[in-house]
Amino acid sequence: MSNGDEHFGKARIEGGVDAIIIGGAPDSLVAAAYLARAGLNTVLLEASGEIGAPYRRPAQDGDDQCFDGEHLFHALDPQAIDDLDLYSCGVAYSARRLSVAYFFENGECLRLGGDLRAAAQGAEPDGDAFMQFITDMFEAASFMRPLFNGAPGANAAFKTALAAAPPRLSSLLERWMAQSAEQAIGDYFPDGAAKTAMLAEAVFRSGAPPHEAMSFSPLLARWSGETAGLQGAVAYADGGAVTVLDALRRAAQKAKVEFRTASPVAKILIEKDHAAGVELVTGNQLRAPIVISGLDAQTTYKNLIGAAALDRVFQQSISMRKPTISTVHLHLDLNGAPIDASTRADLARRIVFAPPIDRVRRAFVDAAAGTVPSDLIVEAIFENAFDDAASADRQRLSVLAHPAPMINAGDTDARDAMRAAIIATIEKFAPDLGARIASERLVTAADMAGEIGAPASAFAAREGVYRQIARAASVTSAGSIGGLYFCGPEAQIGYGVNGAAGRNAAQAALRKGARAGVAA
Amino acid sequence: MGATFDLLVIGDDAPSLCAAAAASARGASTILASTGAVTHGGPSVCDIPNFVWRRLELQEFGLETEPVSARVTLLADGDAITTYCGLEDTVEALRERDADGAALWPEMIDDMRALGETGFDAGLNGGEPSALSFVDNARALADLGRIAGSGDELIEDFVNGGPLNAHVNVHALAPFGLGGMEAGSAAALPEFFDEDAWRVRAKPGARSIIGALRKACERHGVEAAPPGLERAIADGARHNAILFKGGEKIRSRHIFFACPDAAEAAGYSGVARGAPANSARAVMRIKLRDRVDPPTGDVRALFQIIDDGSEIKTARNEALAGRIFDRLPVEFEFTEKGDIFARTTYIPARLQEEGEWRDWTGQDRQLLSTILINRLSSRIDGLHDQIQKTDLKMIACASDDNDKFSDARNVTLQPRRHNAIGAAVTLIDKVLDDE
Repeated sequence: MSNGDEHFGKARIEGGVDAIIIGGAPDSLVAAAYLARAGLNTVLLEASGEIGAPYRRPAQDGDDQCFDGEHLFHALDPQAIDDLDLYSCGVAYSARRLSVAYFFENGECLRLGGDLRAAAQGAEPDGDAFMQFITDMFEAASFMRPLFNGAPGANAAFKTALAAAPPRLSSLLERWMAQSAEQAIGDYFPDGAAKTAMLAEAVFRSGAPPHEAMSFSPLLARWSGETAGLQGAVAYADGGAVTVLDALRRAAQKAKVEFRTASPVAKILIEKDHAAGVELVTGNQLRAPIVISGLDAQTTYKNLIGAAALDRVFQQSISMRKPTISTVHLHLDLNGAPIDASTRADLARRIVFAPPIDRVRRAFVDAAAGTVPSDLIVEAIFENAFDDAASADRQRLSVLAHPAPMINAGDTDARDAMRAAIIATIEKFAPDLGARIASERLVTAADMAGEIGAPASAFAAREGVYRQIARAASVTSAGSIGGLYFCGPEAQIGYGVNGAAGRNAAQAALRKGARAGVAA
Repeated sequence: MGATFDLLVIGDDAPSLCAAAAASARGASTILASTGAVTHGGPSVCDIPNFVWRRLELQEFGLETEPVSARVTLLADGDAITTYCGLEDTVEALRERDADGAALWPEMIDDMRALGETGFDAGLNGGEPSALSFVDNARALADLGRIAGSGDELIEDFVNGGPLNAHVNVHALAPFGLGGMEAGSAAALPEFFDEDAWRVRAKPGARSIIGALRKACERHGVEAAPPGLERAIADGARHNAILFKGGEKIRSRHIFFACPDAAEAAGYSGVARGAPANSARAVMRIKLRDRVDPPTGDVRALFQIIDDGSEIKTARNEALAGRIFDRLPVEFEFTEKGDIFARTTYIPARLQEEGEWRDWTGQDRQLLSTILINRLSSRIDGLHDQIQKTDLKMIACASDDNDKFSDARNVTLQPRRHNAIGAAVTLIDKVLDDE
């Protein structure tokens, strides 16, 4: 490897780097930290002016509070937390095992404690059914966790484990992977509040409508994280989700990753079927034998590499139909209801509005047709109720609404309709909320994508888990290009910040490097 | 009666008859119960694979079949698109109207059949093998990813929109009542291109297929159950007691449905698991005073009526919402006598009106009849004047409350398939092998 810069005409060719990470997303930071801790000279290239900038948006009062698209954590990779010592880098939870309040169309409310097993036991009137469901779910989700984490070799290990699993468990897994949410949940619950709540959970943030095959599996993937045994239920990060991003950045810094901002990549250099580095938009080249992309698959493979270097079967396996379903995020600052000690306890929970199931069906059909549905599943969090130190003179509400159509950037009519539908839904359990809005911001998949120049599909709702597993296997194979690794959004099963994809990419690179070293 | 059997097969259609005869031919004591209902309706059945034909020695029973002459899609404004059993014939026919499609057709068939094998091995069509056990095989996993996706997505790998896309979609998906946007609907496509999925009819003048298969059942020792199956209940450690209206009772180790049509007619609620939500089907037999000219002049083809490719999606969504769509996709064929069998799979099992769900009324059935006739009349000249009599049958899945098999054990259902006969015999063999 040459050490130093060479100049050819105006463009500069820079060497002396062991690994390049493209993009400043959470998984990229994880991958970079792993490689640098292993002693590799690692450079992380971020297109915007600040690491993690696309994910970090100024909150209404000016401080960086928001981490768009996420306000809760379902499964931060426990191994990454340990390996990168993330707790000492600033990861902290102000609340774990969040309790949930489900609100329904008929005005009723179902409150569940953060420990779902305990909560199910006391749930009326479906206590027995609920307990059986939770027990089966936890067993199945825990069993499937290695598969959902997508580590190299995990699939083969999973197959071996499946063959040795008790017949009841393996047949349950097969069934649940294929069943619709309505079928799987209908097997346990008679009609009632618990059924409506679990159906809403199953399809929340999923691209798979509840009446269609394979629509139950996303809940298995989601519960395979925090809910089914790591720490219980979902968690709220102290200071908001942005603190997790900061902690990941700190971990990378501590490992001596070199950050280069305002460095958009134009091309991944492939030489003799092996990654050789990148060419920046400026024309300068940065050469390294390891390249990890944390950008989406389409940008990575179609734009930065190009079809010519990829075989047809690979291209087919990573191609994705134009998605139709997304989740919309609405941040609200509310007047006239300060959070204090007396209200904090009641507000520090996850609030979910679960519409009747036939309306959820309809909502998916409408959203897929590009129409804003009149019924939405809504998850709301009073962010500053989790922060004892917050001034909290206002309530700050973070809302995720699903299913939304894919709203084009600049489509103000659709944005307005979406906003109105979300407010109307919240007012079903919080009357007159609309009148209290001091400021607000609506964030769509297109907004998120626009920030980092990605296609909106990278932020669309995902389909059933089979497809996600298949696509993750394809995208992480990197089209058999040596030295190229992938930890973009398609490498992850399910949604949310996780970090396992970044860890897997880095570990695969390190293993390959170790093998090469032995051979030499 | 009181006799004990290895197998009770329930159904009057070709897959049920073949499955019963095949089980009996390999030595299982088998009894066949009629549902007393027209379940499929129409002169054509999916092809009978060689292994079934040989085991049942069907040539002995006067069975003579020939392939349905063509699959025809009758689009709006008199446009039609046709594909044939033979590859060359299809390529030739397509070349005149869709050069790209003609060029892609052979590749599509090869690719779809390869995908079909993966899907079958993985049990995605309801079989036993485990799709999860494929997770360590990169190529199979990629194939599974495609099959687990939507039909729209899979077909677009070959044909991007247009009449050929609509033609494949409606012929492949309509039998399942799918719209093509559903996850997993892609699984219907590879199977549609299976050789045994091409439908056959009895040759002119030959014995009817059902008649010949009944004869085969009789000759292979399948016993006939009394009419009017009332209920099946687990009996002892391994069997079911089967009770009939006349008070007769038999015992059977297994209960087998070779296709969902039979299971629906018999009152088995488990059918709903593999079916689109809130979906029902209708079959209408139209007796004509005099023959009418068939569209495209071909009386032995299988026809689909849609105005455009998006119609099956709209129809599916309308059924889901509990409404009767006024532009229902309709499949139809002519009988030897020139009568018409028309079918649609895009009607709701229950209707929704002003937010309330309700059952079908006579008025709804009348509306459905009118829609079906109008749709057929839009493609068949002079049909209205020749209609002598219509007979509409609706088939929907039994609700959990009315399930006659809720207390039974060892109930096996072959999900809906394009190659239903081969699949049913394979599955019944598996049930017996597992014993």
